[in-house]
Amino acid sequence: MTPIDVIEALGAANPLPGSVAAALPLQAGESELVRQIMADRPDPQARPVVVRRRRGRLLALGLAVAAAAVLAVAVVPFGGGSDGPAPAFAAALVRFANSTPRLLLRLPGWHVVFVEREAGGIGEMHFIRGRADAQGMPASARTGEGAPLEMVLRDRYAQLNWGPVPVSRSERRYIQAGHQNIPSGLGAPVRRLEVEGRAHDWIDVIAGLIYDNRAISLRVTVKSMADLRATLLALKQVDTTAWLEAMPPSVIKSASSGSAIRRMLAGIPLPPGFDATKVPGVHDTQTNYYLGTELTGTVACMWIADWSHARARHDTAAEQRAIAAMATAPHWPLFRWMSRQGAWPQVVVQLGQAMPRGTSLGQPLTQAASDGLGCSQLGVELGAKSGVRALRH
Amino acid sequence: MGMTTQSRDRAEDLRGREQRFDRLYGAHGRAVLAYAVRRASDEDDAADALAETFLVAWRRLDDVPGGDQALMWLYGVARRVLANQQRGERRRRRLADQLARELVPTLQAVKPPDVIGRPVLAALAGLGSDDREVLLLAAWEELSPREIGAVLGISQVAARSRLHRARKRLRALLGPSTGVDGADELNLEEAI
Repeated sequence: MTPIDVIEALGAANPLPGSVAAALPLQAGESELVRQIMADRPDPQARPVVVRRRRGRLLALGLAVAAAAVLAVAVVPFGGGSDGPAPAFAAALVRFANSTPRLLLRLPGWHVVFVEREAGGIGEMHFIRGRADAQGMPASARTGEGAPLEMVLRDRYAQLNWGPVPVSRSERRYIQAGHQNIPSGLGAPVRRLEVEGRAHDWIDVIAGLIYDNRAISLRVTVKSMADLRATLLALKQVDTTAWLEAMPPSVIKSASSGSAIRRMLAGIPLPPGFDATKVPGVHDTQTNYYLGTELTGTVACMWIADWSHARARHDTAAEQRAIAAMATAPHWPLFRWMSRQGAWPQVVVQLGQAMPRGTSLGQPLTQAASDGLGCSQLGVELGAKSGVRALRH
Repeated sequence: MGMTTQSRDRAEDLRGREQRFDRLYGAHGRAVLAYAVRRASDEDDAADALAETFLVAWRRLDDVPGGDQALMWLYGVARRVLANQQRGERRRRRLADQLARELVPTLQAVKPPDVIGRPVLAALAGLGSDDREVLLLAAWEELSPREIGAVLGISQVAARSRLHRARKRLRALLGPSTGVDGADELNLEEAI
């Protein structure tokens, strides 16, 4: 089969050719979609943000996808730093560490700036060499829309991903049956490399291997094979303590997060009956960002429940109280920090701003808040009989 | 009381933005929808991806390039949106509910791909995602290497080279005795 035949054969397998797509009778749905999108009023001051997923919940509102496609974490400490005696790690944090492959890049000057574990045994870590900026990127890096990532990151940034070993035999073979044989610090050699991009003398490459019954991939931008070999040899599995000690300040290391919670809630008007110790997940969260989403999500859900309940009772004073409380959301001190690493604050602020009109992006506000904040998972029901609060029972 | 000059300006600006967005959707909406349908797991995901892509475009209208480059920009956004869906970062948008409902019966009425394409689709599944995407952009979106480069954020030369490699790999997979680790695997020693 000639090269042209391959493309032609693929073309014949096109499930929806352009000419067919153009003729689909979808005008009504499209008109509605365009209308709803244009009803969204962007904040002209808002900059694109990286969408960060919440554990077990999804952000449903007000999210802009960052074109740079690299997410990051601000390295502003809320909890303990790396100085002083070894912290007493919370049991939840130890469980968190042990649910990961506990890998570190043991190279001089490199450190962890981000870690996240998702459902399904999937996780991601970011390492940088040198100082990080507020976005968790190498300081002075410019992640402009048009700049190729490899130009920006060079040998200063590495991304580690892990996940279950692929079920598909061909995918497993793809990882393991390559022609490379590059030793790694994990014992298992890297058999296959994938080049993601190139710029000048730099090459952005992903090394994949299967280790400890997980598929591991390390993405780095290197200039030479020697650099790549050194990096792969520096990828090590460490014990729980060493791994936790290497975590950035954004990860809550201390067994006692009470003071962190108090600081996070500073300047936020709390709804009647709010009790931080009863917020689901507050004792089982690993990062300040997630802790912030649990706390502010619960606060917002409770205010919206109050608002909804007040409207049903025609209690204008209570309704206005809730609206006024949520109107302060753009100024919550915690959001100044959180907005540098994710879209959560934007979601809360938009919902607060939607309270006077009672709808958000064409949806009833209670529905939008339920979807966007996961209120029911936070113990706050916003159904037809809104105002029911599991937290206050 | 009449509108102030400032609020009048804002209203005119908004109308201008709406007209631009309307034109953008009119010109490229179906192409982006087709791109999403070809890659999404179901109609809901495709409609979601379309909605998400154009919501990004609406919010960043000033960043959307003019002319043909607008479509490449939109494909680039759609690609990231779909990648996030596949990573489980699905956002439950209600924006596209009606469109998703219309899509289901509409797409069922579309003639399935020619039987000749089945083996090549099966072989395609054995490729890495980057290889797959570069081939599909060429075959399904009918893009040139320059346009593929614009979508993927790489140079025309790099796009051409990737396309060449991906074609070779796909041919190797289609061959009767060729495994997934065909002889044309990239040699990094040479690449660097």
